[in-house]
Amino acid sequence: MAAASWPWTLSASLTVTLTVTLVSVANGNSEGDALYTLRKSLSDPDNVLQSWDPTLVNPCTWFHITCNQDNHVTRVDLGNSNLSGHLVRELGKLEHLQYLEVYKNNIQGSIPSELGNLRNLVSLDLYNNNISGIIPTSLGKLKSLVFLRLNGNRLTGPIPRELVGISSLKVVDVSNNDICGTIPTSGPFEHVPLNNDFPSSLGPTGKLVNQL
Amino acid sequence: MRISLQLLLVLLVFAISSAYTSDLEVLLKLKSSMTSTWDSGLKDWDPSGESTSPHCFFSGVACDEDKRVVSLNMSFHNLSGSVPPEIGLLNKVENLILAANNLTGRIPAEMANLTSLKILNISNNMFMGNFPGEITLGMTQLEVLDIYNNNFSGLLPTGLVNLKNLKHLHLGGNFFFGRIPESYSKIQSLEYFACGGNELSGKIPASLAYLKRLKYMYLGYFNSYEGGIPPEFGSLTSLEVLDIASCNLSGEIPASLGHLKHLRRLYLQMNSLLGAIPHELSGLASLEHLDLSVNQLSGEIPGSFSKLENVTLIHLFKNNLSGPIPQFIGDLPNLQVLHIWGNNFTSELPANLGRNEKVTHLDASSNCLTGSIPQDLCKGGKLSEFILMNNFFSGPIPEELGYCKSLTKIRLMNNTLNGTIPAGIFNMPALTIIELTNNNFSGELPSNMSGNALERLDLSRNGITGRIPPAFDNFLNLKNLLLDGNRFYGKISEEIFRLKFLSGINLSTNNLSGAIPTSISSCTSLTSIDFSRNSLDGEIPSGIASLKNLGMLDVSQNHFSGQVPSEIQYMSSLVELDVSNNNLSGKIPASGQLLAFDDSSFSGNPNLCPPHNMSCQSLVNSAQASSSHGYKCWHSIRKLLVSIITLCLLSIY
Repeated sequence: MAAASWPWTLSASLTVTLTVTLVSVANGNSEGDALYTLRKSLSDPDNVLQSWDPTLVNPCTWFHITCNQDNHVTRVDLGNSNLSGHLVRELGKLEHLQYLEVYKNNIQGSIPSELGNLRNLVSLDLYNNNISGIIPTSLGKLKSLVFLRLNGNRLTGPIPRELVGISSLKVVDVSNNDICGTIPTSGPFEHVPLNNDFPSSLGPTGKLVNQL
Repeated sequence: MRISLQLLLVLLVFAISSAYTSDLEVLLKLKSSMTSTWDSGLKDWDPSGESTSPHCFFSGVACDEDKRVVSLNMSFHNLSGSVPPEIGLLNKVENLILAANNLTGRIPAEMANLTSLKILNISNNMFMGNFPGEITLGMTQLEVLDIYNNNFSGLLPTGLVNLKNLKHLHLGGNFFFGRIPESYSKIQSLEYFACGGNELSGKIPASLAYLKRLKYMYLGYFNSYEGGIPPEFGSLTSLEVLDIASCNLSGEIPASLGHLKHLRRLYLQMNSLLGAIPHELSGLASLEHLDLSVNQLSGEIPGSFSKLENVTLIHLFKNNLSGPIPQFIGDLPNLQVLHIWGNNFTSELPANLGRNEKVTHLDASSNCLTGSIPQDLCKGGKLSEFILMNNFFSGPIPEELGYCKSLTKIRLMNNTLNGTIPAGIFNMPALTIIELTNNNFSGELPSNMSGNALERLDLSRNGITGRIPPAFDNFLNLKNLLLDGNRFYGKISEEIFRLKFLSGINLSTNNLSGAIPTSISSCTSLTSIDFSRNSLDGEIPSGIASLKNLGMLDVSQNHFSGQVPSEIQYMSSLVELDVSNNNLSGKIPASGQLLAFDDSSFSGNPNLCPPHNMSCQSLVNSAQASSSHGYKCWHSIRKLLVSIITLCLLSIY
């Protein structure tokens, strides 16, 4: 079908509704647009995203979204919400985001490297989903990160060395994935317990045991 | 335009062969080419049976006395594939409707033989390639050509400009590029012309103004024109709907548009129009909808607009308009929707706004408006959206609005409103959001509250006092409750935690006292709890660990005592914790989630030992819960006694 989402119809109310809808294209609220892009790429059988209305001036009244006093998004709370589909690179535009909680869903696809742009991020919780691909090295830019929990997915590749530079990291969990390579032992990884079991392919010395 | 030799040959072949292929055979060929194996839509297209011309009884088919098909409607049958050339044999067909299927491929040239066509509707399919306008050359009776919402590309077809009876031309929703042809002005019979939703560019031809019969013109959306609205459009005196929205128009709105006496809808929104709104537009005597929103218009609302008696919708939002909102806006007899937010309007709302008993939507947010809220806004009992945020309104919410049962949204944040909130606001059947943040509201909340539609209640940063009514649990769908920054006192009512969908609760910065009700542990939908800056006491209930989705817990700056429940270490969802500035004691386990928080989460508790702090470990006895200074004293004495006895024993040896 063509780019046909434009309101030429004769129905007055439909025209009015669609007129207002398209305001979101022009009004420049990039945070609302980014989140709406996320909504469109997620499958939401429980309608937890029903309030995510792009015609509003900002997303601060949307459920599962918290803003600060300047109407910038600081929290996205979508844990345990029966969501599937995939994350979108537009999430990297949420410059003031501190908490990205998308754990315990059925999210697929990979972790967008643009998440590395979220310089205020304190918590990245994507655990217990169906996420694949590698852990982006760009996550090393998240200098405020305290929680990095990616356990219980299908991630592959190594744990990026770049994470060693995040001195604020307190909780890291990449267990129950298909991670390979060695576990860092310097910087924050000196005292981070790396929760739960070691990933199945790594031994207690942190060296690769069974190369797949 | 000359018909190519090839086309002539094709027509000739079909003219001859039509004698040998009946309409029945053509229809069956269409069915076999275009239906998918599992589709049952054309099940009744069955040639067997007693009738000599069974095709005339097929669904969607009508015949003339000679049993030739004159009408064929195959819409909504899930057809796929391309249209076979045999369709050209139905040369008596007047109405051909193939709309709303999944047909693809190109339009067969053989369709040029359908010279009896009056209505050709192939909308809502996936046809592609150029649209061969020349197939219409022989269709001298054609009145309706609808190819909306396909994948046609290339330039807009010009082969159809000589049609003398064409009334309805819909080319929208495709991928056509280039300019709108000037030659379209030749289609003098045209009453409806739409080409929006394409990739058109260049200037809009002024010659379209020659289409004196034109009633409906849709040119906008996804197109990106050069220049602005041709002033010549002011002579399209039959025009009823003009929609040139969202297509990069620049320049000013031509005053000549004010001549369009029959215009009911004027949609120019989402462009780059500038200058003032021409006062001549008051000549639009039939105008119902005016949408100039999201442009760069400046100046004031013309006083002459008081003549627009039929106007029901005014959209002026997101411009640079200024000046007062004229009094006549309150007198417009038919006004339903007034969206003027995001401008620099000053002074007050017209006092009689709403007196026409028809207003349904009011959004005047983000202006510089002052004065009080007009009391008759909901006089007709139809007001649904009531949004005035980010202004300088003062005075109370009129009592009358407490009886406005049609309300779905109230958003008045960031003003200087005062007085008590009318009790009826908390008893509305359709109200989904109450947002009154950052005003000077005072008084108490009513003890009777109800409303199954309410999802968000934000009263933060006002001067509301009294107790938190238990009746909050009547808001069955409440998801966010924000009462922070007020003067609520008394206990947190335990009934609040019966709400099945409560996700965020913020009672911070009030005068609340008493303990956190233990019923909080059953409110498993909670993701965010802020009780900070109150006078709450008692212990932090260990049941808080049952809240499996809790991401944020802030109980700082209260009088909580006892231990931090060790169960918190298992709360993997908890990423924000603040228990600072309380009277907590004991040792916090250095394990699980608790390891993630630094000392600032625990500071200001003199007898509390945070997980990382080594020096206080030996001073505090973690096995005993202690809240009184005397008990702690006894502990210290006991330890001292044990040390003395140990020393004595050692010295004996």
